[in-house]
Amino acid sequence: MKPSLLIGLSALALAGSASAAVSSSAVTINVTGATAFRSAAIAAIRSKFTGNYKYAHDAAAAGVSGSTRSIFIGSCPSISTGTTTIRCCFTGSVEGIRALTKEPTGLNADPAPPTYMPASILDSTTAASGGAELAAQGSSSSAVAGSGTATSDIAFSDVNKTSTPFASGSFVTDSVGVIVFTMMANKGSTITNVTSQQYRAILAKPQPLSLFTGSAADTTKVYAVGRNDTSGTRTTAFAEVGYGYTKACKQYLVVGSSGTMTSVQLTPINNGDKSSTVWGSDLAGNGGYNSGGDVATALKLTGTSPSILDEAGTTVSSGAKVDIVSWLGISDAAKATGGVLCAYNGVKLELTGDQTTTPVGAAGTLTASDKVKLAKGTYTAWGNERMFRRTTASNDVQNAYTAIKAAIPANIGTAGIALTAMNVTRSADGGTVAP
Amino acid sequence: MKLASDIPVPAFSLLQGLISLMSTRMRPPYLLLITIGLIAASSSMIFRTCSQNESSAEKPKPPKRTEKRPKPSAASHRLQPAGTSQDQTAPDSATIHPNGIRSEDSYGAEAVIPSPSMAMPPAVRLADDVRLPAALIPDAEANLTPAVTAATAEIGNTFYRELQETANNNTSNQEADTATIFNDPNTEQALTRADEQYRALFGDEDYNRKTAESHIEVNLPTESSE
Repeated sequence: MKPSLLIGLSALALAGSASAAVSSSAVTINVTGATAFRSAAIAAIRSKFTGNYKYAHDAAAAGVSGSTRSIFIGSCPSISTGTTTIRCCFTGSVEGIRALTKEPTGLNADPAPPTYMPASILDSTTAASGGAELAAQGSSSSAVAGSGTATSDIAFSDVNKTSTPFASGSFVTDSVGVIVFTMMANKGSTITNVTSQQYRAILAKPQPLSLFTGSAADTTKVYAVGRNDTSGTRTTAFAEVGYGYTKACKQYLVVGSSGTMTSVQLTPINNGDKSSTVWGSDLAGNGGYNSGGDVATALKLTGTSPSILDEAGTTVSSGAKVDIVSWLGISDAAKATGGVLCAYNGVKLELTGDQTTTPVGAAGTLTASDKVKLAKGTYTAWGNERMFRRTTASNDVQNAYTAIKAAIPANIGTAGIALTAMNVTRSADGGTVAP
Repeated sequence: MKLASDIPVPAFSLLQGLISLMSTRMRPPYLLLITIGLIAASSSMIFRTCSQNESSAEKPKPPKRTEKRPKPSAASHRLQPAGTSQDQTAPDSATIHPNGIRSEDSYGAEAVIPSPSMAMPPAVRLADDVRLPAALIPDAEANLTPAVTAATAEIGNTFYRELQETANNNTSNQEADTATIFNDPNTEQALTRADEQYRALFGDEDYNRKTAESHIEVNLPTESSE
């Protein structure tokens, strides 16, 4: 090879690998994607604000780590020497990838784009070391829920882009950890183990409790509760159990009062953010909740004798006990106070703070024994957590992506475990687990 | 994307221009030699382009159980230059860095410099003993939404892209227009990845049915009978 060509190619390679220069002006970065991984994502983002900063969020009960929307403004030297604003809106992994492929408005727009909090919400808050928190805004606040749309820059996803209809998008992507899920039944349920076959059965239609207990006397029904198809949690679950994530299902929405279910309704069509629009199948039952936190809320309820409603809201039956089963991230499972942590295919996570050993509401952290089950492959309810950005992203977005990515392993917390801890891998979402 | 049929047109115009120029300024022996050389050079491009063009029009043909099927060509799935390619991940071959991050952008990274062979890889054709992935087994009864149809097609595209890349890395194929893909570990790996993706998309029942059909189609025993 000619020396001049060699030098040219070397220079190109160096240019490709070097970090972009840090901006000196104000920078705003919008982060979206997986709800199940939001606690780790938010912790990683906060760790990059090494100077004074301020923040706001929409989760009064769960705090900023469990919020759907949040905003952080302040000093983040790895992204900008000026003011850095990072806004988060976590509405699902698949939606996160979609948000990177479609603009929020205009022709062929994203039908459910993330909406970010306005910076003005923090105008009267003074930044401080460690972060000055504005009181939780609540999801009903117009300042939070109605803040308009903006183009998303970075997405977290529990699934690869090939598990979405947006595989043709040109992204840079990295696996940043392992996201861990669990089967869970509602408070008061006698279900302790859910197999792939049982979960597939209730996704197709409600099944008798005897399918789970083996007792002929258990004739009441078990219903599936879960996410809509913008969710990576749902995508992973449907792939893992062999149901198929493009297939329509029969999931239910739960309404409760005073800790008890009052109604269990087949998810209606055209139901706003609870509809499944990604695969073009907005069918009765195929929708679901748009956040793992909402699923956790449903699992807190006892199913003594709720009304069973069809998609139109007409009562189909009432007076019988109901059990609901769902698959959710362990950080959300920890919020399902009183819910029954179930084994999956006979293997159960212990999770410190599990309500069967500790009173409700505890942390839900993986134990050393749990990590062995994951690392060695005996427990397979997990997926690779990925970060995405466009290949055409600006220097500021590239810097933010790099900075947040580097901070994930140390901040993964209760969402999962680091890739370096795993002795097994899988070649596709829901694919074979092996060393 | 540049249409293959567009390429010969400027090449032919250039040839005409050069011949015209030479006919006025060069002596007949030089003119003859250069003309022959130019025709030879351009004809190889035309043949290659035509080959691509014909192959691009080929769709994966439905297998017929009563006759030996022609394996579908992958010429329409040629690798795109870096920066526009699909960053299909290959976790098995990816490296986990000490900091716990696994880079998976090898196919979509901007820093990849396309080699001449990457720019025009050979078309691939499956040998008769290579089973088709489930995603390429047609299903007349399937009533799929456009999004699901596109996702299924993408599995097939990715499968052929992987085979094409393997063929492109094989030096014996770099001068060939069409490389035949045999049943080797690389092919098996691509097939496994495609089938796992199909299973995730449609579930175990469809996956089992389609892979059984693909085994029958290639006259191999099914996995259950092995």
